[in-house]
Amino acid sequence: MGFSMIAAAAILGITLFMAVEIVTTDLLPTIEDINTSYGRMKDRIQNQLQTAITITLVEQSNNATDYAYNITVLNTGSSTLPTDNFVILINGSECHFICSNQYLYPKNIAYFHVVNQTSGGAKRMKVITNNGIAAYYTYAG
Amino acid sequence: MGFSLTGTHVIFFIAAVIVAGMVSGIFIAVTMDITTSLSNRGSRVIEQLNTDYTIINDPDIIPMIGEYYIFYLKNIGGARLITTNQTFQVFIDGELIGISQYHFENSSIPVEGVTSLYVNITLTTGDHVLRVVGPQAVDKDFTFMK
Repeated sequence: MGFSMIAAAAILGITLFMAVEIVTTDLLPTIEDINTSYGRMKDRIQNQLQTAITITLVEQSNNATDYAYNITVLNTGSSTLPTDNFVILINGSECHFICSNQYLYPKNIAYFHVVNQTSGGAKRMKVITNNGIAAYYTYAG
Repeated sequence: MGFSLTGTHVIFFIAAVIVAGMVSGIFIAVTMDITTSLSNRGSRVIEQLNTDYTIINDPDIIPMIGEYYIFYLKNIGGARLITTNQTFQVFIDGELIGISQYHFENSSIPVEGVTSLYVNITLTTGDHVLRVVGPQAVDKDFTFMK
């Protein structure tokens, strides 16, 4: 009877050990991944909170066929912004542009050159940063 | 009598091992089920944490091509975003838009990328609310005027 109890206890003990092994092997990497994703999300939100831009000046130039705009953007936030993934909307439509700098550092300005606009005059502009923060400007023409 | 006692011990031993084995099997199976479920749930939580996007249109002027309104959707999350009619549902003023009435320019967009969402709907003059529901039910509202 005593030996039977010991055998049963040993089997249950090994089972418990196996269960702990299964849980730690499968769940710990998932928990680690969740923690990493949460950290990245926190970093993104912090970065958004530290991002701010202002459009300080818009200048228009034109040749015989189309119009071009030079948009001056000042980084009023405290994070450095890569300009590759900025978006510029003129009168609501996305426009292709060329930027003078690859990065827009805090308290620095960058010039965005928008070409091939078919019409001049008053324009409503919106510049959106890589992380979705935006600034508006109304160009009076 | 001595033989009977040994036989009884053997029977008890076998019975104890069988019962312990059954309990162990059930315990391991339940543990594995729970672990698999938690792991799947964890994967969904990771996807939810990595999914974030925003509508970046100028709310005053929504561009149109033909009968389609164009909304710009920017991926501000931490992972590539799959943009199809199956992964995204679109509501305008609370009305679910049928999947035949909208489509995306790209089937997926990288981190910080932008795609266009084309919506074929007739809007009256005034204020409207676009609600976009993406993967893992991550949703964004965008109020605009026509």
